[in-house]
Amino acid sequence: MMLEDQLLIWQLKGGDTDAFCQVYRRYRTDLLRLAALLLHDRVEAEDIVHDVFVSLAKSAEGLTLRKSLKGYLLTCVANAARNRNRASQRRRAAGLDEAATVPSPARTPEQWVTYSEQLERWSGALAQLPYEQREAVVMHLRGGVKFGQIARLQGVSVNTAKGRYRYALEKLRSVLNSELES
Amino acid sequence: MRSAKDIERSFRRADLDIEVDVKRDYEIARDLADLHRRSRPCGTSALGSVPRRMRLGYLALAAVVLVALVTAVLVSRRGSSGSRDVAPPAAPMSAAEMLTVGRLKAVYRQGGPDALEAHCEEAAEKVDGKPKEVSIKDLIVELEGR
Repeated sequence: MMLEDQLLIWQLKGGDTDAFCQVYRRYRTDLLRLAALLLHDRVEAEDIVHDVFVSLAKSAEGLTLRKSLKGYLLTCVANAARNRNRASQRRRAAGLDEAATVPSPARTPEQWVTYSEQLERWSGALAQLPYEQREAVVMHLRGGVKFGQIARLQGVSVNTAKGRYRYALEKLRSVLNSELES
Repeated sequence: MRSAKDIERSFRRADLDIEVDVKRDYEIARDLADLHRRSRPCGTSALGSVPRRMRLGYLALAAVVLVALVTAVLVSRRGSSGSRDVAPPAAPMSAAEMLTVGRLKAVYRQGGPDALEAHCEEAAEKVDGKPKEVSIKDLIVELEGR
């Protein structure tokens, strides 16, 4: 673990609010980016990142890390995104949430984040992949997470995680090439 | 047509910028920091992050060290004051102290008439003179009578 992270965690445990703000400012955009790519829903993405920081604020005292703070926070966001995705799938399957199939409005007064055009484009393309494949490619290429850890996150073997990653790239290739043709 | 490798490379390098509203971001950071401060139990220090079992361990260790220190100090003091076990030389008694009934009785019991006479003579020398009115024999009779 980076020495800087260790120092920040020690300060967080000691109740240092400046340290908490530092962690928030350092990692919020990375977490928002990951959530946006995983969910393709602005409101959900912002909610998840906010929830992760709320959870950190409440439990910082008992926090013990074996990896980097960024890796820990990215994993928290990935777990929360997966839970949201499952919940919305269940709602959709039960026909309870028609709105869940429609992306959130472009901007609401509560939102404080603006995504670049590229981010919107990639997020849209990724939304066409099955969630596990999307997670594999986003976590590996943008989160720098190794396949072993992705496999643990998804509860599958490393080979399955790698397979999902390859399928995701193939699907992305066909989506983006068809966009270029049209 | 782009290959899967191209897609991989371009996604990895894509400039996926996010801009945040500075004012709103500041408010959110402040609210979260407040929550962090409030979530911390009152009166906890950095030691508060140590699990309870470890804290008890630290306390037990501190107690053992304290007891060991106190014992070491006491032992060293006793060692340095070993010579005090020998009774200090008695302070010289004044003639008045030598001639109290209790002192005279003690001298008589320990050494008999000769010791009593020597004791009285020593006391008399301190007051620069010998007792004229009371003889040693009278004194012995008096002491035995009490």
